[in-house]
Amino acid sequence: MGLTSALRIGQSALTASQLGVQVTGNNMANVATPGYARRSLLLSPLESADPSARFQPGNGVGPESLSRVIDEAVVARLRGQIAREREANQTLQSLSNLEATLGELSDTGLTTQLTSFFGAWSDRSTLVANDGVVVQQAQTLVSSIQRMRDDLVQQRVQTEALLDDLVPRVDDLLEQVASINQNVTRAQVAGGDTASLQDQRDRVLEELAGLIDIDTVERASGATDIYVGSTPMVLAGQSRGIELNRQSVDGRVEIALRVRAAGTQLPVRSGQVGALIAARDNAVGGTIDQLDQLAAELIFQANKIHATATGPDGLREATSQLRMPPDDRLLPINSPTNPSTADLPFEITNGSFLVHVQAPGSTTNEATRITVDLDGLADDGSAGTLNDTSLEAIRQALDSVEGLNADFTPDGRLRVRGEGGASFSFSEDSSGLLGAIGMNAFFEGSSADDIAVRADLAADPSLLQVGRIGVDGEFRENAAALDMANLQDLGFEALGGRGFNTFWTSVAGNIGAQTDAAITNAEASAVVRESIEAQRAAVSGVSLDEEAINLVTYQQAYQGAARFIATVDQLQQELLAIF
Amino acid sequence: MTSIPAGLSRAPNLFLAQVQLDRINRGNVSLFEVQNRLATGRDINRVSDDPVRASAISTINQSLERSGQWLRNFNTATTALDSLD
Repeated sequence: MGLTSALRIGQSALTASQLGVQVTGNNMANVATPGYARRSLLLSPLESADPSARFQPGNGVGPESLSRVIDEAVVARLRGQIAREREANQTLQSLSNLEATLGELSDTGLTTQLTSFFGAWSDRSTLVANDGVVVQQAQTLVSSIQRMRDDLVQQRVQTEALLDDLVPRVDDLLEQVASINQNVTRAQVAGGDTASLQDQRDRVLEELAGLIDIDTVERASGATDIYVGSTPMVLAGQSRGIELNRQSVDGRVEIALRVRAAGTQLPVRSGQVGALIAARDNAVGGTIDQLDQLAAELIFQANKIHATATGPDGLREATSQLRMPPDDRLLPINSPTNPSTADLPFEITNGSFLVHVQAPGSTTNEATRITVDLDGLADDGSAGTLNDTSLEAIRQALDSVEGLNADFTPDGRLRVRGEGGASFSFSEDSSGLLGAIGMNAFFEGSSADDIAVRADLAADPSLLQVGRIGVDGEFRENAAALDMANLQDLGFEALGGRGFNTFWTSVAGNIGAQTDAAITNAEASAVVRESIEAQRAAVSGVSLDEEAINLVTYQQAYQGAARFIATVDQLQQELLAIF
Repeated sequence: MTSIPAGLSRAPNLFLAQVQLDRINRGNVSLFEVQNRLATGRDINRVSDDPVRASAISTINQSLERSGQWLRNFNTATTALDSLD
């Protein structure tokens, strides 16, 4: 043990405190770096090389470890919470877009338009307002239904476009984790520094967790495996990849995530991607379906009333909206193999209707009952649709009425015309046939997508009919208009027993309530995330005060070591001066 | 703010800045909501502001609309009867 080894003690102290200053400097430099976990230098005394020697003063100081100060459990909880928060925010955004599209409580809302439409009929029932007002109001209603549906479809398209951007990003992030895993493992084997790689991986994992809900498993090799549910996505240095899969099921496009390597479906319901898929399928898709339902019922109910409506002069000609190919016309209407009526959204039931024919110059009309036999029973009482009524049978029955001519137009519509100046009208349709095939219809189409005011009616509002022949055979000038105005007070089975306005108010109310819940959810998850972030910061964040004190400590340690070396040097000089 | 757990052992700088920023953000959002109410003169602008009251508003709006309709029709009838008289 000589002065030379004392110098070595001084040197170790210089190196150690220099390292300490560097670590402190690096921590201070990263004070504003998000996700940075502060480094902590642990120093330990170096023991003497020869333990058998007596009176060992030690060999100075050396760095034992340089580690990231991090609480893995808090970090994992934070990742889970970030997934929930991003999901809640995305859900909120989708719902609030949807709510803005519905525009309820504003003048452009659908309930306002419906009320104005029925109001126009009510006005018309006083026989003061003219036909043009009703048709104009119907046009406004139709265009706002169509615009709303366009907007909703557009929103679904945008959601898909966002998914098209985000899913490749998820794939890219999985790839990044796999590649960082490789580097960490390599550095660990070589005994190198892995802290900055781990920081980098934590940042990638944090972004990934916001997109899809992941679980991570740390391996001894330093790699982090990623699972979605129980499906492994990254195993050590290998990513299995993720992709968006579009599939057409029953004419609808369904989208789902799947593992690229295996082709298996991945049930992601959390994170931003999960929220987007859920919003596309449930909130947006569901509202489109409900709008279609509303439009279909409106078309059917209005057509049903207008089918039996007539004017003081009766009808000269009426054509159905339904186009039926020649083969289907011969099949019973309720036959399950009749594609033209099986797809019809409106049910035609067993019943009958009256057709009234008025000869020119006459003031009375001749009523004929046309039977629509759809009881599903054969003549002997056994089940079967064979002898039930076909559309061709209806045509024949109408054609055989004196003063009527019934045929099919070249494009397959049933057309009824008065012969020799005779006029006609329908009434008492208990079968729903006339409304369902759109005879003398008011609306065209069958959903919100294709709803329109009947083309020739839109061009010539005088074709609008507002009267009807009642059960007593008397013509009432405003009966149909009153029925139409009263539609708004009725409930319909297809709308769950609700009326048009109540149905739509509840659809909009439901979206509103969901949005309200989503706001609360987003706020709550932000508060929880902040709380966990605070816990992580309390452990891993850089505090400048703390670092400043560390800096002073290391500085003083350095000064002390330098002083010590100077002293040893002086002693050596004294020693050399003897000789 | 309730989100900060009690008994924090350290208060790092970035964390302090973040907490202040979150508070200012939250205050600004609340301020914007109040301004929006003032500008529109309505307490409820979207259904989600208060779903319960919004549904009541819808129902009342429809009743108002219907009453207006009846009133118009009654006036028309009165005018028609008056001119007959």
